[in-house]
Amino acid sequence: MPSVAEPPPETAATSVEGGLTPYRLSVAKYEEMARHGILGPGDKVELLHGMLARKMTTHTPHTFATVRLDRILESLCGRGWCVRSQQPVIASDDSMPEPDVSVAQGALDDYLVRQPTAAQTALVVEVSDSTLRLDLGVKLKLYAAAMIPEYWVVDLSNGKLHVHTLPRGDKSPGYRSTVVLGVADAVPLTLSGEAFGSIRVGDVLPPPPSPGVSP
Amino acid sequence: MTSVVEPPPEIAVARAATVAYAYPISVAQFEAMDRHDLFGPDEKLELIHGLITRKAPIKPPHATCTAKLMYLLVTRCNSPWTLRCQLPVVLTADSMPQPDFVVARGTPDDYSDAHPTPAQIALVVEVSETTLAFDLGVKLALYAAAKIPEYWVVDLTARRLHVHTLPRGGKKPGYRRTMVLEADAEVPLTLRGEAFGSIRVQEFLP
Repeated sequence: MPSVAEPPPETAATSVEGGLTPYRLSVAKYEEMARHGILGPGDKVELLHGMLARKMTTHTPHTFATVRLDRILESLCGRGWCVRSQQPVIASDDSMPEPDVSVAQGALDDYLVRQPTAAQTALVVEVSDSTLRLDLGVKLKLYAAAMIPEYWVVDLSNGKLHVHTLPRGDKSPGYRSTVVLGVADAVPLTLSGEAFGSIRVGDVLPPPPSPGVSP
Repeated sequence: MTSVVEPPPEIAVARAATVAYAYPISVAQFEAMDRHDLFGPDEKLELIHGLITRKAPIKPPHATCTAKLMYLLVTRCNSPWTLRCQLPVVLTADSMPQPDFVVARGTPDDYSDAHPTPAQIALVVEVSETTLAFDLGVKLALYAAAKIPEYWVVDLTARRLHVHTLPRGGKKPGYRRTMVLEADAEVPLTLRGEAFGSIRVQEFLP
């Protein structure tokens, strides 16, 4: 049975301690940095609240879940939707995260000039291993403030899927509904109100290691 | 468990006091951003542990203290020392602050190709009005780790001078000796072991 969980406690990562006032980059300046080669392929970053944020190096369970989700979503979404993996979404003037999977309106070539904006994005998914705090904290608020209608967090460590819907984008952004699903549960795929079947959580998560076999 | 490359401990400590998820950029990247005019003309920015930070605007008491200290220091720092005011220094590959004063070896022309680095620096001074916690915290650790031999912090609110000497690097950088001088005390000006007289603290307070 799905259980309704309390939203996680606030994380302090957006507030800056130690008396620093960070300089916040706009998405435009961030893109300019890439264009001038100031940020290269070795710089694994995304832009969160005007600050360059480290992207975690992925390891195999993370890759597994990301690829599975990408394939399942690709097979379920109709022609009018574009599934993108680890690609930028313009969430605000100063945030351009690169979620593990996102589903945007239209086709791939609709985004030749500009990355999808939040308004063009129906679903964002982050796959979490070591980044659960960030994904349920700073990132959740960011996506809610951007009014991304649905935000999923795959919690690899606990074998759960957090499904966040009904974004609330005021002074303390969040999602009005949070449902935590286990491996036996299924999540309905709804894109802008249209139903596209459902996904079994167990199909996304890597199978548990066989007993007696050390990884 | 995770395959994230952890920063060296001293950077991790300082970054914990900044932003947990921040990606540190290098001085070279920071300078390239400036070269490509990514910053506005009036931005006063420092690179602290790879994080671009805004300097607090200079209010009149800070400006007055700076003007007085400028005169007191420039009249005492003779050759081979040069005084620089609110100009960058390169401390590490990812830190380029702009202290209120730096006394560096040589002449201004010696730094026309590159900003001073720690080995060339004898004294760093920060004037604090609203930034005391930062100047005695993150910045102190930064200067100590870079082995800046002497670091002064003028506390304008309490009308005191904090004099830090004997830097200690390692996991928890700091200064082995801290003297807090009241307005009527005198601070000796010593540049890498050489004495240049002394200054009464109240001479540079507003």
